[in-house]
Order: sequence, then structure tokens, then C-alpha cells
Amino acid sequence: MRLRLEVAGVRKAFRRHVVLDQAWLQLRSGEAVGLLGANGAGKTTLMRIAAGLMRPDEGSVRWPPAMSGAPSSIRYFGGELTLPPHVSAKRWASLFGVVSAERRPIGRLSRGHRQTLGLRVLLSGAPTDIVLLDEPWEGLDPSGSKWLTDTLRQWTRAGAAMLISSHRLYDLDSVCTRFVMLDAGKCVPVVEREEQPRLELIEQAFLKRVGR
Amino acid sequence: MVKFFLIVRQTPSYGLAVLSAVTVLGMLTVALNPAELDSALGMLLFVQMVLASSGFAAAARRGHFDPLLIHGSRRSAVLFVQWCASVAPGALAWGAVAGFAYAYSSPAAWSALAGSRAVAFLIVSIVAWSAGFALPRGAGGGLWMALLLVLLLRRVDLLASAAAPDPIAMVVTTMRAAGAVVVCPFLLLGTHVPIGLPALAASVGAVVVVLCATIRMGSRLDVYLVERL
Repeated sequence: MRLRLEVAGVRKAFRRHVVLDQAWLQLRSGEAVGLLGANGAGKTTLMRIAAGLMRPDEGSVRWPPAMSGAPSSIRYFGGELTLPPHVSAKRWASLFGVVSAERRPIGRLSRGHRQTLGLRVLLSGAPTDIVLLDEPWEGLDPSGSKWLTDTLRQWTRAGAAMLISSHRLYDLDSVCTRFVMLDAGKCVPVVEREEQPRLELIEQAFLKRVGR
Repeated sequence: MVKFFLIVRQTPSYGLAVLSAVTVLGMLTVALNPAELDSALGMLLFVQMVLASSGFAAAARRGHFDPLLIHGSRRSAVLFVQWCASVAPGALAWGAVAGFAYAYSSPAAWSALAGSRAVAFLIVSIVAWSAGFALPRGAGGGLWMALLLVLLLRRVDLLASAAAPDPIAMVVTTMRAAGAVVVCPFLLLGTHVPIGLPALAASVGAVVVVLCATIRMGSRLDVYLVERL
């Protein structure tokens, strides 16, 4: 499995509030990593640094190029609130080659519809090298959740490297191959692939670290 | 990227409505009296001050430009295209009014298309965008208008010049005139204040530097997420 993303010793602070401190993370092709953490633990900050949208104060982020030498292709979705509300859903979808019959502005759609639109656009076309998803199951109905889970599994099988942050442990468990938890600014591995029963162990690890 | 900004418009609908109304009003003014072109251009400059101030950082930090700013993109190109998208509606309106004035043989029409009045439009388009880069939409233009109002109320003479004809005084006067024009581009409308070519060139140079500096700063922008409540 080729290394696709490496976050090495990253530190990020907003004024005096240190969000990430010596965070290390590697993402390889064909694996989906579940990112856990309490609210405010820094999951979104880590995602945005991994997407190249933010710069770490210290440490580095590497996106090793593919075999051909071409730069890695990355897709990132930060949630339905990041979609521009004044643009019609149809036109937004058309930007990415996706067909949508919904003509209303994105801001007038329900939360679930916005989330679905954002995800359908993101997960359209051929799988990319790296996929970064921040709370992707939020607002989705059961059929939308199933579609997302199935699609993420397909992309992982096709070789995409995924980092998925979510509080929905059941959904994460159904997609991810391993899990890390953001705790005190560091990425701590919590459950290995082979450990069973995995969902219970993830829950226990989360509660042990967050509920203390 | 261009397609992105054609779809994700940087000018809100109400802004386009105001711009359209001012454009029609400007054309009517010129049709009634071609010598009144500067009144129409002045109105357009005020509207452009607000429209060009599109607040790049605020929109970026809501995640609206995430697909463009992600790793691997050329941020300086994104910023330049966003500037073009922010000023384009105003530029079209300006061109329409100036072209209309040209058809009506307005004496100032050529200046509005390619002379000092066009420089006034360029200055507004760059300074308003740069001033509003990290502010909410329209705020940069609003603050600029407030500054002009303060200067007006205090009766500050931006063009007060040194009378001595020595070269140093001339350079100082030129730089001062260039600065005055950048702060108040409305000085380039009308015929009452002579602004020399060197001062015009200096003012254009200064705003181009401002544009490049803002793009450079923007390409290092930390695009953290500020969620709407």
C-alpha cells in the first residue's frame, strides 16, 4: 500500500489555544482511517491541514506523488455549510459534471439535501488518490447513509486513501479499516483492524478518553 | 476556475439590481445632457466601491472556495480570477455608460474609456477589493466611503501642493497628487483639478502594487473554517 498522505509532527495553535501538538498521521492507498475525537478536539483543523487549506505552525504535510510523478488528486468535503448558499443546486452540480434536477438555491434546501448534494458532487467520477471527509453522515437519511457507506467502500477498494471524521461510530466502523483519536492535540491509534468486537472497543476507547 | 466564478457569482443579486438601476440612470443622465457624464460615472464609482469589496477571506473561511483552494491549486490564479469576477459587473456597467456617452458625443467619453476617468475606475476596483479582502462583503467599500466623508467634513485639501518649482518639490507634489487620487479617485472626475500624467502613472503603479501584495498575502491565507450560526 503506497503512502498517500503524511502528517508529521504538526502543531497548530489559534493564539494561545493549542489545537494540534505533535500530531502524526499516515494514510495509505486502499485504507480508510476513522478520525475520532471530542467536539473541539481539532478534527476539522487536522482535516483542513491535510487538505492543504491551512498551514501548520510546525511540522509538515506531504502528499507523495503517484507512481507517474503526477501530483496526488485530493477531494475534501467540510460539510453542507461550506456550500455557497446563493448558488442553485443544479448549477453547483453542473460545475463538477453532475446532473441535478434541483433548481432551488443551495441555502433553501434541507440540511440532508445539501449534504447529499455536496457528497454526490465530491464522490462523482473516478476515485481520487486521497479523500478527506468531515462528518459525512450528518443529516443523511438511512438510504443516503447506505449509499455513502457503499460508495466509500467501493472507493477504498479502488485504492483511494480516506480520512473520515465522524461521531457516528457505527457508520465509521462499517467503512474504516483503522481508527485514530485526536486527544490533547495528538493522533492516538485506538483500535487495530483485527481486534473484535470492534465497535464496542471503539466506543470504550472513545469514552475512556473523552469521558474522563 | 473561470467557470466556477461564473456560477458562484461574487456580486449578490441585490448588488446587480442596484448596479443596473444606476447604469440606466447614468445613461438617462447622459442622454439628457452628454456633458453630465461625470455625474453618471461618480454614481457608478460609489456602487463599485461596495461591489468590488467582495470579502475573499470571509467567503473562503466559510468553505465556499474549498474545491479551488485545496492542495495542488494555484492560489494566486484563484485570487486574481476572483478579483476579476468581483469587478466585472461594475466594469461592464462602466463600459456601457462610457460607450453610450461616446455615442452621444460626450466630451469626457474617451477619458472614461481609456483616460484618467478609466484610471479612477481601476483604482476603485483594486483598492476596494484589497481593503475588503479580510472583511465581510461590502465592508471595505463602506469604510472607504466613511473615510471620504470624514475628509470632506474636515475639509482636507488632498491636493494642496508645494509651489516651489524645484525638482524635489515637483516629485513631492506628484507623489502627493498620486496619493490623493488613490485615496479619492473622484478627483479624476470633472475638469476642475489638473492631475498630471506622472501622478496618474504613479497612482496606477501604486494600486497595481497593492493588488499584487493582496494576492501574495491571500495566497498564504490560512483558510480555517468559520461556520455560520
